Amino acid sequence: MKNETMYDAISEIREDFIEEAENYKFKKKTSSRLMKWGSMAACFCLVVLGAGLFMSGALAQKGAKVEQNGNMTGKTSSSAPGENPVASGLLTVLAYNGAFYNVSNELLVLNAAGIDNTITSADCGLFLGNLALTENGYEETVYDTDIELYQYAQAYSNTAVYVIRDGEEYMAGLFSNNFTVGNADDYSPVSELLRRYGIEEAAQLASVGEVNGTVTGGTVVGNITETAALEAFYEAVMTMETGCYGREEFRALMLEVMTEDEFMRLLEAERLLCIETAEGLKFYISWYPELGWLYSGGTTAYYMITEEMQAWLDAYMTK
Amino acid sequence: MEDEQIIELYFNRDESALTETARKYGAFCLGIALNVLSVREDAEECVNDTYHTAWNQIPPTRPDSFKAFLGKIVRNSAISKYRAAHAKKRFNGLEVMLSELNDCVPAAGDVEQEIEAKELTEYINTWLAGLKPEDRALFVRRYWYGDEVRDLAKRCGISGTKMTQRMLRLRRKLKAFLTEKGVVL
Repeated sequence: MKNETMYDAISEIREDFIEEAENYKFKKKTSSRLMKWGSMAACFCLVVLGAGLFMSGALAQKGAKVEQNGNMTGKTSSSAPGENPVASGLLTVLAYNGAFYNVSNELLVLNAAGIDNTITSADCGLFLGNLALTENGYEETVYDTDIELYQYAQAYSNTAVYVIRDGEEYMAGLFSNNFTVGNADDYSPVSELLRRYGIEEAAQLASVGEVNGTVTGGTVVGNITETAALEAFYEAVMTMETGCYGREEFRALMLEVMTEDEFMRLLEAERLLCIETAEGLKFYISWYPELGWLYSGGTTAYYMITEEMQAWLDAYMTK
Repeated sequence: MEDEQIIELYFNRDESALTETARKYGAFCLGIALNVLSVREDAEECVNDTYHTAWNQIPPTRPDSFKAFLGKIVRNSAISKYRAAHAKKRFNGLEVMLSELNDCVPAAGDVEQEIEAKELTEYINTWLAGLKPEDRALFVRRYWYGDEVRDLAKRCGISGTKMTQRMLRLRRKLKAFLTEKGVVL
């Protein structure tokens, strides 16, 4: 057995390597907010430029536009000091509990996330703390400010949506890790995506469908709502838990077996799944049927489609 | 007791060498055996075999690193036991490790000659020497000591998934290195 030859060869490696590994003090990776903010600041310009990424990083790859308004796409200037970037039409972000959120009060953006009306005081659930608006976006602070963070009352069990009250204005913070686009290693398994949306069992799913068009300009077709099908979907998704890759690694894997041109061509054949939770929120997953992969902009991760997932897609998502 | 003193006991054919070895390195040896075999009784048997092998080899051998010397013996003893019982499918620790090591095996070529394990060890040593210390320690802990990925993840403060990715990258790096050197297994 070739792997056993490898094992035997490793058995005889230098003794100083064995000693070194025995005594090595691994540095624990810290996930301090400072580091997160640092990485976020570094790619903030990218964020403003690529605000169209909003719903799904894959959407941007496809060249889809977020059509809701002109003020969220393509703006490269920054807001004037003291000016609320959301009110002024520029994108801003919230970093909270180790994840990043897009802050918006645009109805079309909210609708795409399953929120039917503009955010008001009625949407404020549990008060979570005060925020400060810095050049990097909204940030937690221990000081009393006129900016407050609340749970989203209409879907309070999840962490995909928060409510921000900034003075008189109410906005939603919508889960999206696109801000970490510069860090290929910063991605999460599929269970994290579901957890953000409060899905810990199949019963918390309301429907799975395919988007015909774009997130904000299309309709969901072939909506699957049957309990048995949703249970099968949940189980199939969870089989992808370990096949989770970052952008660069996914790309490298693909380029091992195909040319760049072929890869780009197969990426173009993207389909878009819309998942709606029992609480009415929506999120999207890109599906590359020709490659056999899924992508979530929320977790910035690529998931290798397992046999179970493929069987589900074949059964329910045929065009 | 210092390692040199224990080794002197072996040289003097003093049987307390075995007791002292067990006292100082018993847990270390058992840990390695358990990572491979996962059945405690078998692992303990390996550890006992290790003391006897050490007794037979010292003298004439005078190990530079007594700990690594014992580690190698227990590791080899464990894999022998694994191979002997492989058909019975009793052990799974090594199964997983071996299947991962497939990722490091270069594809067969046309002209290259298959190399001996000893030569392969030299290539692996060269590759390991070029790694960052943390990557080297991770590789050795996983594939020499047989530590579980989830335990390594915990030690580094990252998720199991991320550690799996990291190990995958290391295995691919080794494969690329061996392929570049024209190694065929």
